[in-house]
Amino acid sequence: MKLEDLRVLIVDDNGNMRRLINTILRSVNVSQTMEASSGVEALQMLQEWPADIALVDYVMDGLDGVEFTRIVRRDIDKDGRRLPIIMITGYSELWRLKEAKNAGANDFIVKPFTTKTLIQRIARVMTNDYTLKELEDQARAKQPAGPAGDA
Amino acid sequence: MLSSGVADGSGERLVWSQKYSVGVDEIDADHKVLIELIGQIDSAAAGSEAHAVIGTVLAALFDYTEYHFEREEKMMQTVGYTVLPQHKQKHDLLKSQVIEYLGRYSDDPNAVNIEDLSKFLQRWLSEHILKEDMGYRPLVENNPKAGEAAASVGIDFFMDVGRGD
Repeated sequence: MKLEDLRVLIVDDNGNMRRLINTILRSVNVSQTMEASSGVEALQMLQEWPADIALVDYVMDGLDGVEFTRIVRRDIDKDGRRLPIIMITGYSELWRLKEAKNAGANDFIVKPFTTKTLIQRIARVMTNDYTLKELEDQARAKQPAGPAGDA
Repeated sequence: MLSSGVADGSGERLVWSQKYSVGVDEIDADHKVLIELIGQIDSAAAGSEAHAVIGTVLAALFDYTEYHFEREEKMMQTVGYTVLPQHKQKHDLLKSQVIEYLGRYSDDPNAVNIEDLSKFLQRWLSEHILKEDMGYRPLVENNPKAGEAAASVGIDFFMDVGRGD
């Protein structure tokens, strides 16, 4: 699927960041976007609007990005189709990455980010449907046997 | 003097209008994006997560400026604009200034006066379009080769992994 044909759901409780991501997407000709100011609103939108990918803020009041991802994986994904989810966060601690990964996020972007990072991550996720957890499991399976550590 | 009244202390925000049209849709569209991004600096400074949003706006501005300048310079070269070297020097100077702002901001967000930065960028873009870019307008308007040259640098520009993370 071409980048400019993607339907992108932007989920963030910060209106300035939503607007900025929308501007960045339109600057690269991605014009089919919807904005949700909360995880609950985003779940409602997904019932009506089949997004191809969701860009989700990690920290939000109410339903946060991790819980949103868990609900999508449990209740929204169906018929073998998974909604690719990129988690966006101002925090880069390892435990947050692990939480996002275990919830079923496909990728992770730390704010502030460049346009190139955003576009390249979207392209990568859209061409490779693996979640972060699956990628880690694959990498672990390829490693020679030795002391195990959950990075 | 700023004929647009932009960032001259009146608090008026730069808004694209027909007087900024250089006669090539692709370049006009780029200028509209740059104006929109610059316009988001002020609101970001007043909102929550200001550092994350401003940092991302500045990075987006740098990325898009690089992309736009490449398109514009390709167009000027195609139509044989003889002032291209001097024009490119002005582009390169702005890019180095934005990089310098970005570096200072990421080292210490409090070291950059956001209001001054916003005014500087608005003034630079307004004056650059009205004074420098209008110089090539007679060569590019109604010239299909100009639009084709600009469009030849597409969004693949952002996919170059050497430019991203």
